[in-house]
Amino acid sequence: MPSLGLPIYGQKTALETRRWKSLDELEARTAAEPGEFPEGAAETPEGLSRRGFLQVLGASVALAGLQACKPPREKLVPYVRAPAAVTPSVPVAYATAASEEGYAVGLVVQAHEGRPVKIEGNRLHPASLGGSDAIRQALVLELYDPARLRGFTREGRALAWSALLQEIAALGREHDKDGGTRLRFLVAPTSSPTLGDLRRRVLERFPRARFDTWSATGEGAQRAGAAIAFGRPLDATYDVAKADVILSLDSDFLAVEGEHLRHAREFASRREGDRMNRLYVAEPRFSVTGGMADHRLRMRGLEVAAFARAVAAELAGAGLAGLGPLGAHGEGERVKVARAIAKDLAGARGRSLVLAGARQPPAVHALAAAMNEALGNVGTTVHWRAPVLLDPRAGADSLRELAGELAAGKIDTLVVTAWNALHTAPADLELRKAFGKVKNSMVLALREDETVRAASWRLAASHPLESWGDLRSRDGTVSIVQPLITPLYESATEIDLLAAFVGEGDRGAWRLVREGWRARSGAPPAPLPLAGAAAAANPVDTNRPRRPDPYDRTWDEWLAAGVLTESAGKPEQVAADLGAVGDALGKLPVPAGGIELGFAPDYKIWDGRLLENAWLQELPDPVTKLTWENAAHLSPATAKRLGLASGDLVELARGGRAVVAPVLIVPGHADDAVTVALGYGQQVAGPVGKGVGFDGYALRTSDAPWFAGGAELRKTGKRTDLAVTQGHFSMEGRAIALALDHEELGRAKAELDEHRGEAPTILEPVDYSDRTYKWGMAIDLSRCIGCGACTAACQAENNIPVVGKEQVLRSREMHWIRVDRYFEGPAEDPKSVTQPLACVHCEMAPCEYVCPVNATVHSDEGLNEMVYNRCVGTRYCSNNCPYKVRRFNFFDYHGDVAPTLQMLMNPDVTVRARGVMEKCTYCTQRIQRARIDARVGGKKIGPDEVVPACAQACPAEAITFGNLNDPRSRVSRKHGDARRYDLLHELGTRPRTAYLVKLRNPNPELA
Amino acid sequence: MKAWVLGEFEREEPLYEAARALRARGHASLDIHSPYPLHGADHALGLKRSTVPIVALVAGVTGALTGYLLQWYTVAHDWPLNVGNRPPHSAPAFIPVTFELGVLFASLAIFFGLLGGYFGFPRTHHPVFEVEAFRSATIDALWLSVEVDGKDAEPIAQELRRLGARQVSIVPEAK
Amino acid sequence: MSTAEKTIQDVRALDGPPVLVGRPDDRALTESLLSPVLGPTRKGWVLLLLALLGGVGFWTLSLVTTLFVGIGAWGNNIPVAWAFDITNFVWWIGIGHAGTLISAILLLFQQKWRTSINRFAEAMTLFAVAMAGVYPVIHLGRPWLFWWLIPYPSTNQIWPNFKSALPWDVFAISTYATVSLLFWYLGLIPDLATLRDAAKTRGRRIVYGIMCFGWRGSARHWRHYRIGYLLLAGLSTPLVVSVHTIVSFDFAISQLPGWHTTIFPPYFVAGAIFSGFAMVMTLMIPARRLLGYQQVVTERHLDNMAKVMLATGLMVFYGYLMEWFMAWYSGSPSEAFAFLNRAQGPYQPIFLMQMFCNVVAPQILWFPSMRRNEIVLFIVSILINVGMWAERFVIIAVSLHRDFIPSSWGMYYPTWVDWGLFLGSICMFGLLFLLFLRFLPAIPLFEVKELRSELEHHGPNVYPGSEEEG
Repeated sequence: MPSLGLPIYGQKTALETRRWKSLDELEARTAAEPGEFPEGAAETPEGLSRRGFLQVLGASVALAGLQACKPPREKLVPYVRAPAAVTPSVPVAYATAASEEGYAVGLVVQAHEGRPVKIEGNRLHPASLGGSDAIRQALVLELYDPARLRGFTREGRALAWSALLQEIAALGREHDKDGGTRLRFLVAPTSSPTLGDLRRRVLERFPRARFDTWSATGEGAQRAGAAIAFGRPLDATYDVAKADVILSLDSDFLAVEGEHLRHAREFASRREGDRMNRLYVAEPRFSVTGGMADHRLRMRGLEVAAFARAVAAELAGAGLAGLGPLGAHGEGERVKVARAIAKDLAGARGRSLVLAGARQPPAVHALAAAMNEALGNVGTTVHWRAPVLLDPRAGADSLRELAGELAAGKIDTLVVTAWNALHTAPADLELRKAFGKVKNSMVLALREDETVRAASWRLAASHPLESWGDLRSRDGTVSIVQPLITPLYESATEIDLLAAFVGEGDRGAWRLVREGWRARSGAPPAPLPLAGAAAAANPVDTNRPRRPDPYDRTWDEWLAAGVLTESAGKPEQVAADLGAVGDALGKLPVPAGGIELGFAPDYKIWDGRLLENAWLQELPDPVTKLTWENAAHLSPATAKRLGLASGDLVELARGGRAVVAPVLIVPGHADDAVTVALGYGQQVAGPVGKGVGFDGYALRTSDAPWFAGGAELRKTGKRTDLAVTQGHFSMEGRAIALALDHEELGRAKAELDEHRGEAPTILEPVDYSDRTYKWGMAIDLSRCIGCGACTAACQAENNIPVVGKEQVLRSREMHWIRVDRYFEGPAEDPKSVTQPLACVHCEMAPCEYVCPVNATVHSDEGLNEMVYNRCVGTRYCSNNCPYKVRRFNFFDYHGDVAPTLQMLMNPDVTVRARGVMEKCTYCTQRIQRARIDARVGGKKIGPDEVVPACAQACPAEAITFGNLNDPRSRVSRKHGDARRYDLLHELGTRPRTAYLVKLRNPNPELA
Repeated sequence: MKAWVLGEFEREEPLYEAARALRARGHASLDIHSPYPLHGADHALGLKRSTVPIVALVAGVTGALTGYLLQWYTVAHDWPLNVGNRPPHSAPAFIPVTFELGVLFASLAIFFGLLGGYFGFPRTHHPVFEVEAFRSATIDALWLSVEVDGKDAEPIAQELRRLGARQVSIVPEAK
Repeated sequence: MSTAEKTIQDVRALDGPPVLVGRPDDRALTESLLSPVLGPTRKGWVLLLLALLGGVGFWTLSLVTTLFVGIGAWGNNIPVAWAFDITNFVWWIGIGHAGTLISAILLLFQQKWRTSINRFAEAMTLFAVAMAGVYPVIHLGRPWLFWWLIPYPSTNQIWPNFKSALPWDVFAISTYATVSLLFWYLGLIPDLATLRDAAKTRGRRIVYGIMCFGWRGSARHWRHYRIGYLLLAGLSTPLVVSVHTIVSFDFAISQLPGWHTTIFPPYFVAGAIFSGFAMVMTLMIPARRLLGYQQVVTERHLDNMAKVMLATGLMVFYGYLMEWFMAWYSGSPSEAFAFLNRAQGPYQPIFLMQMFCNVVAPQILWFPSMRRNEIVLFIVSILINVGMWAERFVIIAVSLHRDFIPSSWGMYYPTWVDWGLFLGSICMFGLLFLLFLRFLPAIPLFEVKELRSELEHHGPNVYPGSEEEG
C-alpha cells in the first residue's frame, strides 16, 4: 500500500515501540536509585498520570519560576498549593538563551502547564531584537525528540550520575599523575563565563591537558582577518541600519552570519521610504542575502578576493589612496561594476559597510576591515570588540594537532563536547581512525551520532531548555540560560561534566552559574542558613528557611530580562596595518581552473546537528525549496555543459574522495562551480535523519575548508526524485509578487491601482466598518528576506504535522504559510522575489460558498473560519481556492505520536483528524486570548496587540497584523500604503491580507 | 354466490364485439386481459379518461414547494451564515433542489399511486388465476372476463362461445 | 402488382431495414425473447461471471483500502484535490444518461425503434448510476459522515449549504436513481407477469409472481398504466437534462480556469448522451449476437444509435471549440493558459487521446455502410467511452494541476488504488449487467408485441411515426 511506505514523523514504528520499553526500564532504574534526578523527569508522561503530570508541572515551574533553584539532587514535590506563577491554561513565558556558534541568541519561551511549546526571540537581546529563525523555532522539537540519547554508559554499562562521578573521579586521579599530559578536551566554541571558569580550574588541576575548540562552521576566518589587520583577533558587530551602501563579499549576513537576526531587522528597516539602502552582493551560490541584493554579482568563491581587490583599487581611485597597495584592477565587465560600487561606497563614507563572508579566507576579511576603516565606517556601521569566545582560534589547526596526538597514541582520555567531531572533521585529518586509539573516549551528546557510537563513554546531554548556563553575545551582553523543564531523560550539561573533573559534579549547574555570577557581580556571599547543626553541615539545602539574600533580587531581574543589564563591552579603537593586509592578500592562491567545489552550512540543519529535526527537514530550503535532503547546486549553463538535469545522480569527486549526489539546477548560481550544503548523509542517525542526503564533509579537507578547485562530476546514469515544494519559479508573466525599482514607484500608481481597490461585483459586500474589530494582515515584500522563519513558527504554533519525503513528493506538505520564491529575468542571472503566502481571508471567499456542509464560513470580524469538526473532506474548497493555501489531512498524521511529542502540542490549537481540511486561521487562538485578557481588563484589544506566530517570528518585521477598523494600527497604515496591492485582485475575492510591492534600489550607473 | 366467466379470444375485433354485446345486455362488470395494451379496449369497455395526471401534478407541485421552503428555512431563516458574502436567501441557487424534489415527488406518486391506488397491488390472488389456461393472457391470448351471479354463469359461457371465444371456463367464487 | 403493394414496397425501401424482422406470432416472440432467462445456464456466461468477480474483488480491496487508510491511498494532492474519483463519477453519470434518454425522450417522440432497446438501456442506466453513486461518498475525507450533506435537524445545529453544488448533486443523483428505478420497474411489471406465466418451475412462478405484484393484464389497469408510464417518461426527460446540468455546475460555479464557464451544462449533457449511446452500443452489439436478439434489435437500431452518436459527438466538438474561443476571447491570461496547458502541458497525451476518440473517430459514422457494420460500430463505441473518460480527466485534473499561482502547481499520478476503483467499477458494472441478462427480460416483451400488432394493423408504413398514443 502506498501509504504504508511513508514514515509519517512521530508515528510509532517498531523501533520506537522498543524505545518505549527501554524507557520504562529507565524509569524503573531511576526509581531504584533515590534522587539522582527528580522523579517524573525520567518518567514518560504517557497519558500524563495525575502524579506524573503534577511532577512535570511542579518540576518545570519550580525550575523555571523566579525562585527556580534546585540542584538536580533535590526531590521535586507536587505542589499542594498552586504557585502564583501558574494559572492552568495560561501560558507563562521565560527568558533564556541558545548558543549559535558559541554566541548567545536571546529567547523567550512559552510554557503551557510547564511544557515549553513555543520559542520567540527576546526583544531585549541584541542578537535577536525579538526576531527568530527556523532553527531557533525548531529547538523545542529537538527537546521532545524521542530519539534523544538517554542516561550514561561506559562500555555499555549503564551508570547513574553518582556512579559516573565516582568513575570520573577515578579517571581524574589517573591523570593527576602526569598532570593531564594524556588528557584532552574537544569542545565547541562557547562564550559561557561559567564554562570559562571551569576550564581554567580543570587546567589548574591538569596543567598539561588541553582544550581544543572545533566547529565545522563559525567565523574563525573573520577573527583571523582581524588578527591580520589589527594584530589581534577581534569580533565585528555591524550597525546595518546606519549603512546606506552595503557590499557583501559572499557574506550571507541576513540569514546565517554574525547577528543575522538583528542584521535582517535593521536591513529591512531601510528597504522602504526615501532613505533606502543599496546592497551589492558578490557570491557563488544564490543565497538569501543574494536574493535581497540590488545588484547581485555571481562569481566563483575563489574569485571574490580578486573582485574585492578590484573594488579596493577603484576606491583608491575614488580618493581613498590608502587602499592603493591593496587594490588590483580586475579586467573586463567587472572593472565597470567595481568602479560603480567603489563610487557608491566612497560617496557614503561613514554610512557604508563592507562585509566579508565567513567562507572567505582571512585575507579577504582583513581587506574588508581595511576598506571599512578607510571608508570611515569604524564606529558608525562597524564596531570592533575583543572576542567573547573563550577560544577565538576555532578551526582546523587545533583539530589537526589533536588528531596527530590521537593517531600517535599519546592520548588516554578524550572528552568530546563538540558536536559529532568524527562526522564534521576535515576528511584529511582521518579523525575516525585516530579516535579509535583512545582508551577513554567520553562523548557528551544530545542524540546518538557517529561519534557517540565510537565512544566508550556515552553521556546524554541535557537540552538547552533543560539546562542552566550562561552565554554572551558579540557585544559582550550576558544572558543566563535557564531551564523550562526538568530533563526529560537522565542527562547532564557540559557544566556538570567539567565540574565533575574538578570534583564538583554533584553541585549542580544552577549553583555553579548562580554563585559564579554572584562573585562576578560583586554581590555579598550567600548568608548561612538559620541556626542548626544540620543546616551548617549542609549549607546547600534550600528547603530550609534562609536569611534574606540581596543577591536574589538581582538574579531574578537577570532571569526575567534574559540579559544582564549593562553587561555589553565597549568597542575598541583599531588601526589597520595595511602592509600586513597586503602581504596576506599577496599570499592568496590563484583560483584554480576546473569546477570549483564550495561548501556551505545548511539553512536548516546548520552543520548537521539538527539533522534529526523533522520540522527543519521538511522546511523548504529558503532558495531552492528542497526538503529532506541536500543536493549539488549547479548553474543552468554548467548543467547544460555537463549534460545534467535536476535529479540526476552524479559522482562528485575531488582529490580522490567522492560521494554520490543528486544535481539541483539553481538559477543565478556561478558557472563552473558546485555548492554543497554540509551536515547531511550522517552515518548514524535516528528515524528522521537516516539515509537523508549525502555527506559533504567527506569531500572537505583542512586546506580548503570552503572552496576548492578541481572538482569533477561524473554521471552515474541514475536519477532520483528531489522533494521540492515549489516546482515552478516563473510567474508566467502574471502579476503575483510585484517588484519595482525605487524611483518607478511614483509612476506605477496607475498600474498598481488595477491591483487594489473596489472590484465590480453584483453582490453587496458585507460592511465590517461598524464592527469593533476587523482583522487584517499586510506582508511587505520589500522587507521579506524569504528565510522561512514564519513557516517554522506557524508549524510550532499550530500543531502542524510533518508528512515525510514521500508525501512532499506527492505535494502533500502541510505548511499553512509557505514562502514562494520567484525568479525574474534570465535564468543565468535572475532577480528574485519572495512572497510569504497563507490564507488571505477573502471577504468574498471562493472556498466558502462551495462547501456543502458549511464547514468554512465567515466570522463577524471577517475571519475565514475553518470548522474542523464539521468538515467532511470534499476538498472542494481547496479546488476553488485561487491561492491554493488550504491543506488536507490525507492520512491520520497525528495518529499515535510519541508521548514526548504529545507534550509539544499547543493546547490552544485543535489537533486535526484524518480527512479534514485545514489552513491559516490568523492565529485565531491568539486573538481569543487577547480578547479574554481585554475583557478581564475591561478594555478593547489594542490596535497591534494581537501578533500571529508568523509575524512574531519574522526577523525582518515583514508581516504586520491588527485591527483594520483602528486607523492607529500599523496594519491600517500598511493597507493605506502606496505600495499596497491585493493578490489576484481581478478575482474580486477582497483578501484581508494585503501585499506591499518589493522595492529595489539599483545603481543608475549599472542600469 | 358469484362467479367469473372467462373467454379466450384470438383476435381483437371479436373480442370487442363480445364486450359490446355483453354490455348491451347490461353486464357492467366486464374486463379484458391482454399481454399488451389494446387500443380499442377502453372504448369497448366504455372506460373514462385516467386521472393519474392530476395526481402527478399535485404531487409535483407539493414537492417543488417543499424543496424551496426547505432551503429557505434552513439557510435563510433558521440559521443564516455569512458564506462567502453570498446573500442567505439566494433564489437562483435554490432552483436545482426545488426542481429535483418536484420530479421526485411526482414520480413516487405515479408509481405507488398506480400500484397501490389504481391497481390495488400487491395482489397475488385473483379468481382469474384459478384457470391454468389463463396464463396465456400475458403471452399471446386476449381474454374477456365477466363477473356474474352464479346461476347466470352457464348462459353467459354459451353466449361467449357463440361470440367466438376459443375456450371458456367458469370460476365460482371461492368459499 | 397492385399499386397498394407497390407503395408498400416503396415505403419499405424508404424506411430502410425494418424495426422488426419477419412476422413472428406472440408465442414465438415470447419464447425466443425469454429463452436467455428461462433457458439453461450457459458455460460462457458462468466463465464471464467468474472473470468479472475477480475484478470486483480488486474493486473491493481498493474500497477497503481507501476507507481504512484515507484519501492518502490515492494520488490526489494539493492542488489536484479531485482526480480519478470525480472523473469516474462524472463518466459513469454521463453513461447513465442514455438509458433514460432512449426510453423517455424517444418514447415522447414516439420513435418506434426505441422499444426493443429501452429496457436494456435503462438497466445500463441504473447500474451506471449505482457505480457513479459510490464515488461522491468514498471521495470524502470522512466518508462515514456523508449524511451531513442531507438536511435534517441534527445536534450539530448546522444545515447543509445550498449555495454549494454538492448538495444539489445529492438531490439530483438520488432523484435520478430513484426515478430511473421506478421507470424501469414499472416497465418490467407486465413482462414479469409474462415470465410468471411462461415459467415452468414452481419456484420461478412464485418469485416472478411476487415481483409482478399480481399483474393480470387487465384493460382497466392498462389504461392507467400507459398514462403513468408516459408521465414518468415526461418527467424523466427534463430530469435527465437537469442531472448532468447540475453535475456540470460542480465545475461551472467555481472560479477555476477551465471549470468556470457557462457552456458546461449543454456541453456536459451532449457529452453524456454521446458516451451513453456509446456504452449501449458496446453492450448491445455482443448481446444481440450471443442472445439472438437480431430479430428485434435490427440494423435499423444500430443505424439510428450511430446517428445519435454522430450528432452528439459534433455537439461535444462544438463545446470544445467554444471553450477555446472563450479562453482566447476572455482575455484572462490564466484562462488562456489553462487551455494551452491542456494541449501542450505534461498531460498532452491524454488531451490528444480525447481529441482523437471524441472528435476524429466518430466522423466515420457519416458513412451509412459504416453505421451498419457491427465491428466498426463496436470499435468506435469503445473509443468514445475511452475518449469521454479522458475528457473528464482533462477537465478535472488537468485544470487543477496548474491554476493561478505558479508556485503551487503540481502533478497528479494515480496509485494502484485509483486504478482499482476505476477498473474495478467497470467489472462491477459488467457483473450487474450479466445478472440482469440472465434473470430479467432484457427486451420489453409487451412493447414488442404492441409494436407487432400495430405493424399488422397499419402495415409497415406505421414507421417512423404512428397515430395517437394512450
